[in-house]
Amino acid sequence: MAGRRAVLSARASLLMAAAGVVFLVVLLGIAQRTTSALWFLAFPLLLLGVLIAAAAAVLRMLRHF
Amino acid sequence: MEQQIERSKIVVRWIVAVLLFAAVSYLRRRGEVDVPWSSVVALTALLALLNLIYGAILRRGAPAWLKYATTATDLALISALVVLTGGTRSVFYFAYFIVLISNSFRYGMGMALYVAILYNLAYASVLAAAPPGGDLTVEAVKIFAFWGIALYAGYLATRFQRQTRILQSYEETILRLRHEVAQLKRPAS
Repeated sequence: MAGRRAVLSARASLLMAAAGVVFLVVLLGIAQRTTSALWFLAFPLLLLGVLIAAAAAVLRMLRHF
Repeated sequence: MEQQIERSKIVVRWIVAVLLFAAVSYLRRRGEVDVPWSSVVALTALLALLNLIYGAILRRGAPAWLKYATTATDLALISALVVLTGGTRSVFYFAYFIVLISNSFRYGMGMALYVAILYNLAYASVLAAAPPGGDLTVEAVKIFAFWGIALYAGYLATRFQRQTRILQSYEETILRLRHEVAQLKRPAS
């Protein structure tokens, strides 16, 4: 939309999506490989990171920003 | 509103406490769980004490922190029960879902996320306290499943809250229109 400042630039959303993918890989890696339950303490941070990145990517694709 | 919700949570907590106490006693008699009576009684007494404290606080109103505190203590008590009754093999694992559903349907997505985060931390602590040994993939899947259910419950609660607000505004509009019609019908003096 003309005159409207972008809330999230294309570059920022791309970076967020990349971070989301990295978080997802780390998450699945921990789930498959770990033998120590303490690694599960990182799940909330990683999961929320994935969710936020996914939400930003979807909203960007729908031209919401 | 919050005071009413927390009061009803107290009633539910009493019911769940009685049911869980009866279930643990029954399974202990049958030799299905190996938990000392002292632990069962201590856990039940702690829950009863906390419930009485929450009841006393609610007599004067519902502070904003109370819903977070009650949820956190509920999850901590369930984690203690799970550790005492076999860790990952505990039949009382389902009790986590009671807290999730009860809170997320009442308070919405924010509370669903809060419960999921606390459950994740609590269950990781349970696994650290009573390690099942070997591969933990199944436990990771259990945690993912809980997150999935929490997000879905939060989404449903948000939808439900939105519909309730819409219904409320319709009711207000109907009342206003009825009042206006009544005024129009009144004969001009």
